[in-house]
Amino acid sequence: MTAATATRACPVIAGLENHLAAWGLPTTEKRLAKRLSSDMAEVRSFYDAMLPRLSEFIEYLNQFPLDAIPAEAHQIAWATLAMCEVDNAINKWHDTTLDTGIDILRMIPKKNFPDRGQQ
Amino acid sequence: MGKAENLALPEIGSHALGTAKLPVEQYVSQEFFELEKKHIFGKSWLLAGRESDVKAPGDYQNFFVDTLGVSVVIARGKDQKLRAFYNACTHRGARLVNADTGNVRALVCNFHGWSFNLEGDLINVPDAGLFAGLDPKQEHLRPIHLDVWGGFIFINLAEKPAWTLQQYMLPLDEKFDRYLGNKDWSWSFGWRAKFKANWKLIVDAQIEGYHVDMTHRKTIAGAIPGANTAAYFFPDSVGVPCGVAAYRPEDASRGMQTPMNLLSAKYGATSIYTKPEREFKAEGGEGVLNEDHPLWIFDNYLVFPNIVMFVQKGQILIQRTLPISADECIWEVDFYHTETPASFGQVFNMEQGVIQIRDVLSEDLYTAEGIHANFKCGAITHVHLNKQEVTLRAYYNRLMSAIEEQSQAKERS
Repeated sequence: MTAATATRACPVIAGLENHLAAWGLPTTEKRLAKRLSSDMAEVRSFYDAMLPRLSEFIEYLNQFPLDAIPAEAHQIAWATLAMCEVDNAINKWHDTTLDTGIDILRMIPKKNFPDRGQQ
Repeated sequence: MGKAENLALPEIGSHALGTAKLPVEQYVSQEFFELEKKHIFGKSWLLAGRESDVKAPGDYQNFFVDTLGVSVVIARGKDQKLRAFYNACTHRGARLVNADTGNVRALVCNFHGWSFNLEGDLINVPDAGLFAGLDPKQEHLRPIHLDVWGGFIFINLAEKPAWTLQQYMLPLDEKFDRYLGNKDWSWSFGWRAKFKANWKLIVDAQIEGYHVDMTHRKTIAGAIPGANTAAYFFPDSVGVPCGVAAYRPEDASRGMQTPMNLLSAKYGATSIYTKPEREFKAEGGEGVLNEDHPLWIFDNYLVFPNIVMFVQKGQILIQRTLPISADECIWEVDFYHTETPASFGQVFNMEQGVIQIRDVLSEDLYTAEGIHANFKCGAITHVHLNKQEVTLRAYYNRLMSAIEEQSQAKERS
């Protein structure tokens, strides 16, 4: 399906603008950093505002080929992915960080199998 | 077979390898580490890469065995054959490549410009007339044994490996070779980190299910109950001493399935902790995937000495741990999938799966440095192992027998 044949209109985001601006960050690493630098009230407020809209956002975004998601929907897509980043904080830890694991920033994302970073 | 029988889980473990406490010197002794360098890392088949990452003629990859100071160039020749060489110019010993990966027409030394083709032959020496009696045929790059199994490249630094790679991997047979070597697999994500801990402690953390309920109490506890992980061991295998099979709980409501987990499960199958509504495709899994059991999730296998390989439908997880010294190691995890996300829903599912496993791994990695310090300072001299931890006994036995048989082989020669 192309953008031209998309049938679902871009979701109305009234009331979510601030959350989308704060959490609609383009990479997992930036969304992780956002969680680590937020307090629980902020994380909770984002989660509660997004959760009721999440299925609608995914279904809307799902109608496009990945490389044809309209630019105006990128922030919605990234904020939707940020919900994965705050899931455990809200539902399991009741805290912004996990206190029974290593500092998560020690785990450096690899770019490919042989990637060892700077020698 | 009735349904109840179908749900029966295998025996959780075994006391067949004994019940005595095990010593811990092998984690902290410098003397033992020197034996490991020589007889384990110098002679075992070591997983070095993925064949598909070195696909075209001229593609190369640089693999390091840090503790031995060894850098290996793995390159595909014009004849499509993969070869491994010491990353060392035969003129004065400089490294030929420094990047992790690349594509070259020839391996050219940056020091004085000696050039080697991808078969390792010396093909150009600037001002060759300056040398007396230089015979290019004698200056071939020093080769290293290389073979491919399950699509993974293994190297062996021994002059003459004691086993072929196929022998080494048994009881994982040609069915595993075929399934894991399937062209559909592609790398999807991974992490690396350094730890101030002996390399084996990071392996230990992944080869038993006894830890799951406690270690993962803030992430996946219940979704894979510790009691639903069964340990097994292969005393006759040289390269695969043991493994663990993991099963979902009989009661599907166990474990916390968050709204996010349930939503992501509609779009893909990345998480191993939530039963997905959509499954990955996986060709050729007969005899590899335990799909007869409705609760089966994965088997993991210890590929001696340093790899834990999780095999499931449409997903492979490889944990590699390489020592820097007796007290420090590099840890890496890499995921392969048979499908790459083609829709946002699949991206969302992948993101949820990546973050869930990331947080779970951060828990698995939490104990190694403390354990190492406790072993090193002598606070702990022996450890207890239960029947579910028989895998650690199998690992220990293989480590000791490998050192013994290699030492004896040397004495005989």
